[in-house]
Amino acid sequence: MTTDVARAPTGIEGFDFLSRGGIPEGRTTLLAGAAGTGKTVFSLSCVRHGIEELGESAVYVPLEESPADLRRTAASFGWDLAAYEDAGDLRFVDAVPPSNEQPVITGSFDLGALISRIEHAIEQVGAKRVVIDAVSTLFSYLPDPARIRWEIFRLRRVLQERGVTSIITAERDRESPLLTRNGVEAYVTDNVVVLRNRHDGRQRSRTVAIAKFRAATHQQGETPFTIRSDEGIVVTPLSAMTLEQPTSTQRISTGVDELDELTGGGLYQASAVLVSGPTGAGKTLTACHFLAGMASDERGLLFAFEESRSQLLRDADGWGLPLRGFVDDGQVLVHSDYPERFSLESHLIRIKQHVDDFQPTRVALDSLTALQRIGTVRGFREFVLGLLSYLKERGITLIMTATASSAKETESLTQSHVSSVSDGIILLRYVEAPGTIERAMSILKLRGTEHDRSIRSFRITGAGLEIGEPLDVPANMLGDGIVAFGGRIE
Amino acid sequence: MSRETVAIRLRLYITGDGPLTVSARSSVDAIRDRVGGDCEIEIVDVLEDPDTAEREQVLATPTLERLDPPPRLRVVGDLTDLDRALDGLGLRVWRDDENHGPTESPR
Repeated sequence: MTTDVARAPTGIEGFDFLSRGGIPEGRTTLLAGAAGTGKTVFSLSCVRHGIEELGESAVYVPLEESPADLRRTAASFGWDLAAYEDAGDLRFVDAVPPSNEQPVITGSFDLGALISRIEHAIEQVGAKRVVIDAVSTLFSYLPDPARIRWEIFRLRRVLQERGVTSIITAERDRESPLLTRNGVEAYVTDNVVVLRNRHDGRQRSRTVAIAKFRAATHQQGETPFTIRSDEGIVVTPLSAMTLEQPTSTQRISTGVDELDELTGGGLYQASAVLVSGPTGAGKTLTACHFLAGMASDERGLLFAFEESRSQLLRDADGWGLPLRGFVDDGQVLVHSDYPERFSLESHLIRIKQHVDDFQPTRVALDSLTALQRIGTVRGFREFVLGLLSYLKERGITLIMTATASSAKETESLTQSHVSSVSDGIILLRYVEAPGTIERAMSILKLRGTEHDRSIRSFRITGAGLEIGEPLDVPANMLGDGIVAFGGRIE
Repeated sequence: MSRETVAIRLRLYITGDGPLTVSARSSVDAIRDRVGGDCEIEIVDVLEDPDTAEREQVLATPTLERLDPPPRLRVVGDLTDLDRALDGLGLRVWRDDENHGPTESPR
C-alpha cells in the first residue's frame, strides 16, 4: 500500500472506490470495451470531474465522434462542454478521419502530426488530463498495424513525459478473448480497465473491471454499473458494503398497536424486517400500516413493484389507512415501477437515488418476489445485501414483503439469504377453520429483542389489520400454510 | 485546357527534419519534375505550424495533399513509389498524356 501510485479521481464514485482513488495519476490507462459499452461516457465523466472539481484542464482527442457529436452526448448528461472550451479548460483535437476516403499510402509515415497537435493543445490549456477516444480508428484509417501500435506507444511516452493523466480507449471484439481488437494492450500495458455490456435474455448488464493496475492496489472482478441520464456512469461496488452498521436501540412503531406489543415495543430503528406470506394474506397492508404509522417528523418511501401508485392508494383508502393524506402532505412518496423495466443493479441504484433525494426514515418495499424473478440468485442476493446495508448505514428502517406460500418458496428466499440478513421475519398464513379460511400471523424472528412467539389470528377490516388472540391449535405456519384443523380461532 | 493555364498546388506536411522529412522532400522534388509546368508545393512543418495541421485535421506525416485543382486528395508516407503517389493524387494521367488536365478523381 505504501508504494501505491497516486490516483486521479474520475468522479465516478463507485469506480473511485474500486480503484482506491481513481486511475493512476500521470500515467496512461487503457479503457477497453466493445462498441456501446460506455467508453466515451466514462472518459467524458473523468474530464468533467477534473475540470469541475479539481481545476484540471483537459484535452480530448476524438477519433470516432466529432466534437459536435460529443458536445451533444455530454449535453444529454447535463454537461456543457462548450462552456469548458470557452473558459479555456477544454480543447478538442479533432482527429476524426475524413469519412470519404482512405488515403493512398506509399512509403513510411508516423503520427507526428497528431502527436504534435496533442502536445500543442496540452500546452495551450495547460492540460492535466488527456483522452484519446478511440485508437482503433487509426488502425482502420491507416492499415499498417505494426506502425500504428508503435506510434501509440510513442504517444503514450510523450503523455507520460508531460506528466498528464490519460485515458486511451480501444475497441474490443465482443466474443474475443483478446483485450483489444488491435492488440493495443501490448503497448499500453500498465493499466487496463475493461467495460462490458451483456444482454442475457431480456436484460442489459454493464460491468466494469480493472484488468490490471501496475504497482497499484485495486479490487478484482467485474462490478455492475449503469449509465444514468443525469449523472453518467454510476458504479455499484457491492463489495463496498460492510456489515459494520450502527445498531440502534431506538424503537419505532409498526403502525399497528398490537404488533408493537408483540414485537416488544416496535421495530428497532435501522432494522430490516421481512413480511412473508401468500398472495392476499396482508403483506401490502402491513407495509402500508408501517408507513401510515410514522411520527409527524418522519418521512417514508414506498417502492411498489406489484401495484400502481393509484391502486395502492385506493387499497389504503379501503383499509382506512391515511396513506393518501401522507402522500398529499409530501411525507410519503410512492414509487411504482415494473420490475422488468430495469436490471436489479439499476433498481438498486434508483432506489438509492430516491433515498438520497428524499431522506426517508422508513422504507417499504413491496415486493422482493417481484424483483427476485428478474435476476439470478446471485444478483438478487447482492441486491438485497446492497439495499439492506445502504439503508442501515443511514439509520433507515425497512419493511420488505415476499410472496412465499409454500415451503419451496420459503427455501428460495433462504437460498438468497434474505431470511438470514433480515433482522426480523413476520409470517402471514392462511389457516383453515371450520367452514372458513382465516388469517394467522407469527413473528418468526426478531433480532435483539424479546418478542411474542404465539401464532395470532388476524383480520383485515375497514380499520386495517386487527390482531386477535393466540391460536391454541396447530396451524403449520412453517409449511404450506393452508392446513385443516378442527379448532376455533376466537 | 492547356497545362500551362492550370496551376497545380500541393502541400506537404512534415514533422521536423528527421529521415522521413528528408526522404519526402526529395520525393516531392521528383514529383514536381514529373508533373512539370506550373506546380507549386508548399511545405508545412507541423512543429512550427500546429494550427494549420489542426485546422486541416492532419494525423500522419509526411502527408502530401493536392489543394488545386479540386478535389482535395491526400497521400500518406514518404512517397517512395512515385507512380502510386501520382495515382493517389490523381495526377498520373496528367503525366502520361499532356493533352489532359488533372483528373477529377483518382478512380
